[in-house]
Parts: sequence; C-alpha cells; structure tokens
Amino acid sequence: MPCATPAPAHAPSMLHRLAAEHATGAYTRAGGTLFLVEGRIVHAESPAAPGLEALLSCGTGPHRGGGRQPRTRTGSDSGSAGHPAGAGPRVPGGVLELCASVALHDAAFFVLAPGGGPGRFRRGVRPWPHVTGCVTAAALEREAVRRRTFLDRIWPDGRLDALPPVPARSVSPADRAAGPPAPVPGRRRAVLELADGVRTASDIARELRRPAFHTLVDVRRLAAAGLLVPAPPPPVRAGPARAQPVPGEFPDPDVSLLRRLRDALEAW
Amino acid sequence: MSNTEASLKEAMSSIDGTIGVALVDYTSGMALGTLGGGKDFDLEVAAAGNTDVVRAKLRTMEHLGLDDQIEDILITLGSQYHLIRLLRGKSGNGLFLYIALDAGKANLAMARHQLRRIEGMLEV
Repeated sequence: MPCATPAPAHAPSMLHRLAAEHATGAYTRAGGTLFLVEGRIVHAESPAAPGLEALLSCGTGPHRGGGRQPRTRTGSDSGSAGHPAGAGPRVPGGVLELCASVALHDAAFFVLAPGGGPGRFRRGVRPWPHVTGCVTAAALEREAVRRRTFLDRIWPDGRLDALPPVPARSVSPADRAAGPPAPVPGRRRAVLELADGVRTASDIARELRRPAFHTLVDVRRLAAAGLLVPAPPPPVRAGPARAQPVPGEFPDPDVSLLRRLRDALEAW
Repeated sequence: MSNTEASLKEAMSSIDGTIGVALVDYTSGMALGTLGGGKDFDLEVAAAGNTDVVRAKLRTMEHLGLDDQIEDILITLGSQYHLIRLLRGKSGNGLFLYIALDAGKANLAMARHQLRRIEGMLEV
C-alpha cells in the first residue's frame, strides 16, 4: 500500500544490489513484486494497481478521457488484475507496448513506496505469462520518485493515496463568493462519481480500468479543487485490537487495577 | 525494435533540424519514449514540463466551453521550435508527441506534416 509520508521513495538497497549482480527472480515488498531478469525489471505486480489485462480489457489502452462509464465488476475478487476477455486478439502493437509500459511503472510505484520494508528476493522466479517491459532499477526508481513528487506538487496530502476519498460536503463562503465552480473534466468526473468514502483510489482505478497512479493524480487534483477529502480512518481503536499509541502520549493507567495487582503480588 | 522506438527514430531521421523527440503520457507526465536531446536538453524534464502546457490549454478550452480538440501546439523560441502533437487513436487520448527543432534548420510546415504521418506509425 502507498504510504502517506511525503518523503521521496528511495529504492531499497537490496534492489540496487540485485540489479548490480544481474540477478533473476522476484523481489517482493509490502506494495507488490518486481520481477527481475538479469538485473533488469521486466514485470511488476501490485494489489494496488489494476494490471495490464485490466488496462487492455477496456479495449482502449491506459488513457481514455471523456465520459467513459465505469465497468461494473461482476463477481471478480478485488485483488484480481481483471480478465483479458475484452483485450481480444487484435490489440495494435503500439497500444500493447504502451499499456505494458504504463502497467509496469504503475505497479512499481507501489512496490517502491516508502515504508514498504527491505523486501525479500526469491531467486530464479520468472514472471508468468508476462514480460511487460525492460527497465533498469535506476530508471524505475527515478520515475517512482518523480511520481511521488508530482503528486505532492498537485496537492500535498498523502492520506488520499490510502484512505477512500469522499466528496467534500460544504463549500466555504470564500469559494462561494468566487463564483460558480470550474467545470470538472469528464475524465475526472468519472473518478468523482465513484468517490463514495468506501472505495480507495485503487478501487476506483480498477473499476474504471485505468492505471492506479493516473487515478491518484485525478484524486489529488479533485482534492486541490476542494471537491474531495480523505474519508476519516475507520475507528479501529474501539475494537479489542491493541490501540496504536500516539508517539509522546501515554494512555492514563488504570490505577485501581495496578493497585490490586500490586496488592496481590505483595500478598503472594 | 519496438513500435515506439521505431516511430521516434523515424521522427529524428525524417524531420530536418530535430533536436529531440518524446512520446509523453500527459496524465502522469511520464515520457514513454525519448530520442535525441542530450546533456543540454533533458527530454524527460521537457516532457514532464510540457504536460502542464497541454493541461493548461485543455482546461482553458473547458472553461471557454469549446467543444473541440487540440491538434497541435507550437511554441516559438528565438532559436528553436517546440511542437506538441496530441494523439488521438485507440489509446491516443492522453498522449502527445513532443518535438524540439532547430529553428535555423527546420521547415515547420514539413515538420507538422511528418509528425502527422508518424502518429499513424505509432498504432496507438
């Protein structure tokens, strides 16, 4: 999953080492997997990115604009990368090539997200059935860093990468005084219509069969326009799970319980 | 040779005065392919920066309520021409070809014509 910190995504040193030793295998971090062949990245997969089949199954490639309607998912699980049924046998070479490149960088962006851990490497594992490109680790990292900076330049709120966006309820009086809102381009309107506070940006991307990063861009632009805000995080603290303490703050101790414990220990 | 690579190569060789050429995805700002350029002319930077040009123009058209499409954008510098051609093919919506030309060597009308031809080669 993408991390909310705005720090640049430096590829972990393990990836640099694998690239330097021309390793072949699967390199997995929290955000997904990069497949290396002789040190170069040939394919990437991430649960946060729709994947090549989904992009092709739109029959149109990664960049449809206008008022494209979302495809309704029917029974497929949310982690699925879609199905190639719509791709058909006659995808023009240029479309396939560009979709592959977009899909590779789309998934890699999440794999290289900061906070994804050092990762682990399974030597010898090859991607199947895809080889979607051939990119050096340095180029992949450079692009991931550029993308993260790009997102923060649009609207520096990394929470929107992970939390479901929800339409902003109220328009401030200052905005109202500024006149009617600017029209939302059709491509972005489709994202706005699906932002219900339940779907994350990745879910919206999957539904629209668009690259996840492009959807993150649209979400941030909509947030910059004051139309979307991140939904409040689910109230996990109420559950029996261990509450995450806020750094520098300690919950009040249950004094009576401590006293009873001490009494019991002393009596024992 | 890949489709993109072949098309960019064709642009470099068939258009007089070409300094560099890039195929750019303007939503993400990523250059999907570049050729030419050099130390003095970073095409990746040019590609990312010119997405703002395209986006600003598209937004202005929306604000004006112009229901039309951009064919190309020409930026004339003292010594260079920068030509941006928006692609419209099956997946072309969201891509543009960017070409930087030496103003002293280039024939602008010819360059526009050739770029249109290269768009067809891309099969997008």
